[in-house]
Amino acid sequence: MAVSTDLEGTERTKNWSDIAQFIQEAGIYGLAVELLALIFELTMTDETHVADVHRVSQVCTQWRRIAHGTPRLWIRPLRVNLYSASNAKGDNAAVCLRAWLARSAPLCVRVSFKQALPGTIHRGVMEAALAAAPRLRAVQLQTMPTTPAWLVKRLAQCALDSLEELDLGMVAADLTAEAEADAEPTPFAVPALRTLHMINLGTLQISVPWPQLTELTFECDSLDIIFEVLRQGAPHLVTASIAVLGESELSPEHCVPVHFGHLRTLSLRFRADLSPFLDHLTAPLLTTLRLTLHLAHWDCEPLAACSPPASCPGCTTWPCTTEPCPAVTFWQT
Amino acid sequence: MVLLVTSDNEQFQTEKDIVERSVLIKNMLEDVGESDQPIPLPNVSSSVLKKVTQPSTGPTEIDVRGRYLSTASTTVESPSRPPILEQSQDETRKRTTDISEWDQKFITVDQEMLFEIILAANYLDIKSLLCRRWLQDGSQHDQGARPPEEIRKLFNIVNDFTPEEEAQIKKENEWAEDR
Repeated sequence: MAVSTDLEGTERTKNWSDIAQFIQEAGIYGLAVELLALIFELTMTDETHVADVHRVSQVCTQWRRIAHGTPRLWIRPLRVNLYSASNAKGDNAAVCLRAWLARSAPLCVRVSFKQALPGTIHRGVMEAALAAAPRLRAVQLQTMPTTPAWLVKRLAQCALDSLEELDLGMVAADLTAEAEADAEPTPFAVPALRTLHMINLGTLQISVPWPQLTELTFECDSLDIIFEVLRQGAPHLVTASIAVLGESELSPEHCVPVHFGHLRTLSLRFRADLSPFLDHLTAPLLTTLRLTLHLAHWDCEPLAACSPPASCPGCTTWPCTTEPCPAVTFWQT
Repeated sequence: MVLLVTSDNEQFQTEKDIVERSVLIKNMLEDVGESDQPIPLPNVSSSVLKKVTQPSTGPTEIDVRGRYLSTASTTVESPSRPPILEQSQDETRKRTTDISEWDQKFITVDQEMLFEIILAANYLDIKSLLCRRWLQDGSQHDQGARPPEEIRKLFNIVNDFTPEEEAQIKKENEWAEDR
């Protein structure tokens, strides 16, 4: 069989695939290991990397040895299913995941945990991933229907030395007796954290090095929690998206000024009255402001005192009279 | 003609249809339109650019097991066979394929140069040089990947895994499917 039968046949003399063919052929027989590893790497894409790396590592012992000995082949963003239909499948997944992550050492990896079906989370799979905790660059939790509080607490127990991006998803209320008794925030050891996303549906509070964050997405039920977070300081925030889902008003003890020295983009989604937030907020570098407001709070005084935001170039007065205004939408109830 | 400037500041006048094999350059040309402005290639040296922009000429043949043939339409046995081929059940079978004279010269570079060429091909986005199609066949397989058995067949590689390794591979694949 001539290999050329797999190539485009029309312009043979100008077909660069012949070169690729030779490189590939030569790689099998005598190219340097590093060169063959590079060829393996170039055949991979983020979307298909698991199939790609399995393909080359399952051809023969020589290719397998090279693939297993090349950490950069194993560091593409990895999705991990925490649900398993049986203990046997879960146990196998834990072993395979542990081996996969070991091959990526000492490089950092990005992992998103999902749950294909709602049900029991296989802790063995979770622990296999957490064995590589110091090398996790990004972690995303997408469990159904919500992220259990115990999962967040377990993650917080790890030394996440390289973690830069943390997405906790929609965190459920912790209804355990211990949680009721313990009101202290759960501290995370994340010295490199830059980005945090969290939708807090319950009372679980976390503690991260807020001052070093550059991007924050935070949704919770009360303005008090928001100010509890923000008063700890987030001077380096560049992008923030804050939503308050409840209608409770800000407690007097939380009425403290909040200064965002580097903030450029701010999205606010408030069901409650926005006034207390705007009263205490300063953001001199803000260029984009997006508001989602309840209709009842549209004409609040702090808005009238503000300058028109750059995100609404058509504004001449503020609150905006442009329809539709790119900076403001109304809360759909 | 298109003017390219390499990392070591050499200038190359090259035919447009040749440089447009590079998706990167093709997109740059589309962006700037008709222009005499030189296109800078800061990640490609002149020696590498020569290799990836020279036009090809007529066909000759290679023994795809690893050695070029000096004349067209001749097939000879590879003088030094790799261990993996020593295990082949079809030791006498010879496979040939066409390759241009230029391509032949292209390939007779040392491995360091080959490494640079592959990196340059990646930067310039010359897909045919990136070997992707050799391990992928989107029309026949899910996710565009050739299964290992087809790669073995394509390159005449012997499956030398032990039963224990085969069992491990099977478990890997089960996990990959459930993931």
